[in-house]
Amino acid sequence: MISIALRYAGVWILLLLLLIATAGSSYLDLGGKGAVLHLGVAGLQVLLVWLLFMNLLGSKSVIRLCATSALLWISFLFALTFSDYFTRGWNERPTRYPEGTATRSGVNLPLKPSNRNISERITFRLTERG
Amino acid sequence: MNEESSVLRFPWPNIARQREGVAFGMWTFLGSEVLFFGGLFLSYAVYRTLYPQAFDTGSAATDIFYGTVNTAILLTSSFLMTLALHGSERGSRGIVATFMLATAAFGLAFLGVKGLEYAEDIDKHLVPGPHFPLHPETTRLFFAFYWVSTGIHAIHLFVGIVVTIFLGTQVAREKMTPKSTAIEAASLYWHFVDSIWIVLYALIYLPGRSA
Amino acid sequence: MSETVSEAEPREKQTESKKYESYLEAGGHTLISWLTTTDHKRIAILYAISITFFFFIAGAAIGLVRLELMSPRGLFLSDDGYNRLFSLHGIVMVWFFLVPSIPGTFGNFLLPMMIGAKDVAFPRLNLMSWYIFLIGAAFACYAIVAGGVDTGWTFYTPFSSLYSNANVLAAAAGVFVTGFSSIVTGLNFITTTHMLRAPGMTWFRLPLFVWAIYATSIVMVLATPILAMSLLLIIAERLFGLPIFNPNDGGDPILFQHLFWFYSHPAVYIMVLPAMGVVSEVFTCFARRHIFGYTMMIYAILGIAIIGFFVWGHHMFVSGQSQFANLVFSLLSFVVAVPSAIKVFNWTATLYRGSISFEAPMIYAMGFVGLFTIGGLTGLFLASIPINVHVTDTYFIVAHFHYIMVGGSVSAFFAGLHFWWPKITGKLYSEAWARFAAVIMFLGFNTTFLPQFIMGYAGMPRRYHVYPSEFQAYHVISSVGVLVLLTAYALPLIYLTWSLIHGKKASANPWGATGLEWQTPSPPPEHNFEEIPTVDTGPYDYHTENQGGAFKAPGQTE
Repeated sequence: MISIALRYAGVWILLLLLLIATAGSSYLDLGGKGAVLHLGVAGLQVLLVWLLFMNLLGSKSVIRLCATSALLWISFLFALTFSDYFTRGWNERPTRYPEGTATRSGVNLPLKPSNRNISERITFRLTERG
Repeated sequence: MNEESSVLRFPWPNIARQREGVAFGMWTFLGSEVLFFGGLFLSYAVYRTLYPQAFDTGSAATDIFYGTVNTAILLTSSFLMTLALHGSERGSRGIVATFMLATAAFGLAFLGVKGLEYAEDIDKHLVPGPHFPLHPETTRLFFAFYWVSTGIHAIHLFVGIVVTIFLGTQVAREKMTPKSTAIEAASLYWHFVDSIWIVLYALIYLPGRSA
Repeated sequence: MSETVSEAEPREKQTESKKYESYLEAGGHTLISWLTTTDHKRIAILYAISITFFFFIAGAAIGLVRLELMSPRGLFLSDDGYNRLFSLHGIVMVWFFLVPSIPGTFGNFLLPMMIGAKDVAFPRLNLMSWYIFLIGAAFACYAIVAGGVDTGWTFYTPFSSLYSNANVLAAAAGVFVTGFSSIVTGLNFITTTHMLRAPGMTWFRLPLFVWAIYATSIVMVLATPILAMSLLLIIAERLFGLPIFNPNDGGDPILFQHLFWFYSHPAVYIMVLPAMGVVSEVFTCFARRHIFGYTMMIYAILGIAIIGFFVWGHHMFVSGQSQFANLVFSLLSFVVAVPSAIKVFNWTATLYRGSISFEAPMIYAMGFVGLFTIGGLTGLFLASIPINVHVTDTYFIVAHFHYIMVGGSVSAFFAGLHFWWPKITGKLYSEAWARFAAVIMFLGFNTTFLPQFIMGYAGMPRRYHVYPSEFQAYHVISSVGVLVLLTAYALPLIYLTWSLIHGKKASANPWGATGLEWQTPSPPPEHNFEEIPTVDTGPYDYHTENQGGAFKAPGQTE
């Protein structure tokens, strides 16, 4: 009991250290690498939880298959959706919605009362940078 | 031996098979949950790709102190849960009951801190609406994600707390054997909800602090 | 509640009481005994009753829609009323009939029996999934009674989240909740198939119906949560005013379409894969043949289930999705046709040199293959971007997906219903009436939907109840077809109910079919098998003399 508890305690301390490291690094100016680092550490922590706390390491292969196929499918979702978003600018200009889609372009749909104030803010830009 | 047979349920042929089946079924469910949160993460990823500055601004407005404390609380609760499961494998009623209830207590602490954070956010008008203080408009997308994802996570955690308290007290009152397969299922769920929070922490609190 | 199964189930029990208690009798006849049952066979019946109810609700809605379309100026509906009726038809048919239809009924009833198990892996969870379905159904019923929804079944944003004045919240909540019912059913089936196969029942001895339900369950478990999330985001936007898909705050409505179709395209395979499984069982039995290319059929099932996840973008060619993504999705959509074609060829090859008999289930199943092929081939038209752009949002699309979902899935549902009816109820129905209904269903279906291909190609848009008068002839033919079709659907309701009371008693295996489910008495006993059977051959063993034997027509049974 004690030795196993100590082993889990080790993992727990490692997780906390990673947390401190990632929280601290968020104040450093790492440019674009910051996001990669934060997500990398989060991924490492999740991996530790899944493999050791949830015992994927010691599980039968069919159970590991479950976990991996979930991750595989999420990668399908991301890959194919971003095949759209990353290539929006390839033909001509990026797709833009006409200014004031809802109220100014002649599409006079009845608005739900609770959303009136939202549609009054009609300025819309696709990218803040552009 | 009697305790063994009270674990076994219809239509399983034996306990080893049933344990494997419960773990497998739970992982299948968690696979489904991964995709559920995956839809949320996808929305976040798309909007962060489109509006990186707005997401930095939004994220900097969140309170990283509460977020970090809460992450530590959940990681600790997960550690306690592994001890409860270990007690279950050894068939120790006392260990299971103690650590299940301790786990649930940390879960409740998480919700308490979350409540304080929510109160502060509402105070600062960080709910997308007429008095929303941040600019540009697209920071509203970040806060829409913030409220939806932390809300859904809190509901998941709440379910976990209810289940854990229920199982812990059942075991403590000797109404359930500590070897029940339900304990392993509950622990898998708990760790999973923890791991979702780890990702949410990186998405919500960490970007945009360096500037 | 913790029933234990000891290795040595008392064997004398069987011999001492020759007259066994079927699942319909064991446990009692009270309503409570049905509502609290954990028997997978009784839960299948519960599902069957609930989806039949919704089938006729949604059928009535489309009956009114087709009546309205008899005249180019509309007959009796307001614009808004028309929108609400076709939305009701779509939402109820998709989520409250088609998705749970074959998995909820035949999947529940047959999957454990076909693999030689006494029940599904988690019987109480199985009952829970039916109650979750009912809760979702209650939300949907509320949405209908409160005045309906006008978004179409697709809930497209920003209309659904910002503009619609209809009961979007209740309908979305209903679909959201029902989704969890299919996730739970799916995980139950996956676990059952992995863990509870009888000794000797290896993966490559499983009947194709089991493979189909297994693949469907994978799709359910992995796709449905994304639908749940997309509906939740709509609810968040509508209920709390959080900007998510609102273009005014930089939100992208197309993102909703990505999320929605990530579920809703695979959902087509949730509907059609089980149908394929049913047809494989029926074809082999009534052609007295081993299925042609058994292994290839399995890979085709898995191929459809997996590649089906990669093609959702073909619903969005004109949505503003990037041209590059259009190309990718177009290519992948052509690819998914390959395994479907393999299946059609293999069914045809199964018939070759078979001794075919045209019993009612076989007529329905052959109807499936024909209609599914037309639906599938027009699907190839739609995978091609230029044609897709031309016919987007026209009746061509409507006809295409009805050929798959109604001509395909519903035909196969009726094939399965007639095939396993003697097993489920222990009664034989009137074969003459059944054949008659099968034939007019096929004719009625084609009368309804063939004209829709033509008028769609000519430019008749979907979801309009006022249209240029040149389309009237097609609409009238189509509406007459619906009348025939509704008759064909009502007939089984009558003669099958009749058979429950007056039908002849069915023997254990009236079709002389292989498969473990036929080795139990009809209707089966509570726990299916007195003793878990041991399996030593593959499925569809129709060639060996000792198996099944000569085909017996239903009347000739002992």
